Amino acid sequence: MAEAQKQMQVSDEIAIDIRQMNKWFGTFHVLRDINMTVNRGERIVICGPSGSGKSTLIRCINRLEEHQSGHIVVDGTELTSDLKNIDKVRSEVGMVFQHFNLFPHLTILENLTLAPIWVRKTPKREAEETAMYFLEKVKIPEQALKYPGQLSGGQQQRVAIARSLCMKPRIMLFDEPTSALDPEMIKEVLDTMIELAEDGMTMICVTHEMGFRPGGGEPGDLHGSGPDRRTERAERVLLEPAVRPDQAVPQPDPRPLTCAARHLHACRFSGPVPLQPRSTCPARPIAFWWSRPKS
Amino acid sequence: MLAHPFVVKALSGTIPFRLVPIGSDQFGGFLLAIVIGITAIAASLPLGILLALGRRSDMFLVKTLSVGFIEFIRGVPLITLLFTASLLLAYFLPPGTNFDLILRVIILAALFSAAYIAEVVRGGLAALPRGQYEAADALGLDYWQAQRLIIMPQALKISIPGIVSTFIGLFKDTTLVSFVGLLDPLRGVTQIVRADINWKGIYWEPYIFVGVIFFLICFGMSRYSMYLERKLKTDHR
Repeated sequence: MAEAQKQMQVSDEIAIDIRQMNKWFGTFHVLRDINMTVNRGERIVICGPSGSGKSTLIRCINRLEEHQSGHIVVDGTELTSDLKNIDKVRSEVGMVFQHFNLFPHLTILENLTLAPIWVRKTPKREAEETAMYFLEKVKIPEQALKYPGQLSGGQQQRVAIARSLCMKPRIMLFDEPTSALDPEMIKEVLDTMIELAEDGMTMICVTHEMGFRPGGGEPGDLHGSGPDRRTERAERVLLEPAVRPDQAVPQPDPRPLTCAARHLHACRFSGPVPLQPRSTCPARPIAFWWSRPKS
Repeated sequence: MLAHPFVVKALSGTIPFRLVPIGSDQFGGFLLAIVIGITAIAASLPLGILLALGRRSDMFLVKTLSVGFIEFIRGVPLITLLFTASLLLAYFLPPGTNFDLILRVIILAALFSAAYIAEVVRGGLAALPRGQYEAADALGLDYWQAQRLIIMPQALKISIPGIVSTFIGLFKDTTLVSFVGLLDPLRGVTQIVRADINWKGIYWEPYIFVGVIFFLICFGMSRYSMYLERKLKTDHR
């Protein structure tokens, strides 16, 4: 446990810094004045109803979507129209998609080694060793020579996670990673994600599942501030989708607002991850359900 | 093409045949159809791919030029282009440049089918899920890497039937070169049939023969495309 605690340290180093960011789709103002800081080692779940801009927000972080005003600094590199910077950020930030987006014309192994070989200029043999290491980590090394079309959805999503990890990213973004999967497969993907969280990866996970909530146990469980508690909470947030309407309403953090979507300023939640009844959720387009203790 | 003295010299240097340089006017038959067909096919595929990419480009100038070229070529009959070939090419090249007739025809046939290939490939590009572009981007691949490694292998695979149709069309269109005075297979046949009284009554026979050869070649291409499609299929269970 002590070792786990050490690994789970959330550092003060800032991984992602978003300031006054605005984004429009045509005339539709989808993200308004977003302010958000993510420290290294932090794991954040972004929830919200469809169309609230969750996906757009994390897609802005690796510039799959362009923001129109404000600043996004990822790992010390500001995202501007400078292509060099964009490619640099993209190679440091892994992304997992809802529909996996594996390359169907390449084998699993080729999917995993492609980016390291062409972007990182890693020798082929070394890239393959890394790929096999991560395939073992997601527990499907025996599928290496198959094509994505031959795998189940859950296996494909694990391959997609491994593909991102092969670039040795410092930050991982998950865009509704379990939305296209059935419950059986959701569990295997979540197990992989939890393992990753335990290794101290900075992660942002988007989901539209408003019922996601932390621990099924005592509320006291949720208030723990030790690093191990955080893992536990992250694990539970991911694992146990359920709604407890009788729980406390989230309290805004006294610190500056971290997130806003559309015209509503959402809150940064501290301490226990708030539990919300489904019916009250739509009022709050984006909620950051996060795993950092009160400082 | 073969008539070029340099080619003849190079060939006779390696192969001990007595190759005599001949002019375009003496070059004919199926060899002509095949030379025009193969060179135009080989040249039009890369050109068509570039045009398709150009048409989807964000850069205004590249896009405008690609669209303009594609729409112009597709809107004009091949014969018109063949007749005006010398005039058109003269506009783009320094004065005094004189092109061999066959080379001229090959360039035009290649440009002509490139415009069609571009549209077929564009269809393939449009059929790819957006996620493939995004995944390539998210991994940090640059534009050309993404095109070469991710997008084109898939888009071309989707477009194989259309591309091969265009090639078959191009190959059959090589018979049109008789209009600019080249001896394509059909024209050769016509000359022979007219010159000899013995063909009277069965003049259809050589035409059928030419047709059969064209059919065999085109059918071969079509079978090859089906074989390619089967071979490149990776979603089998």
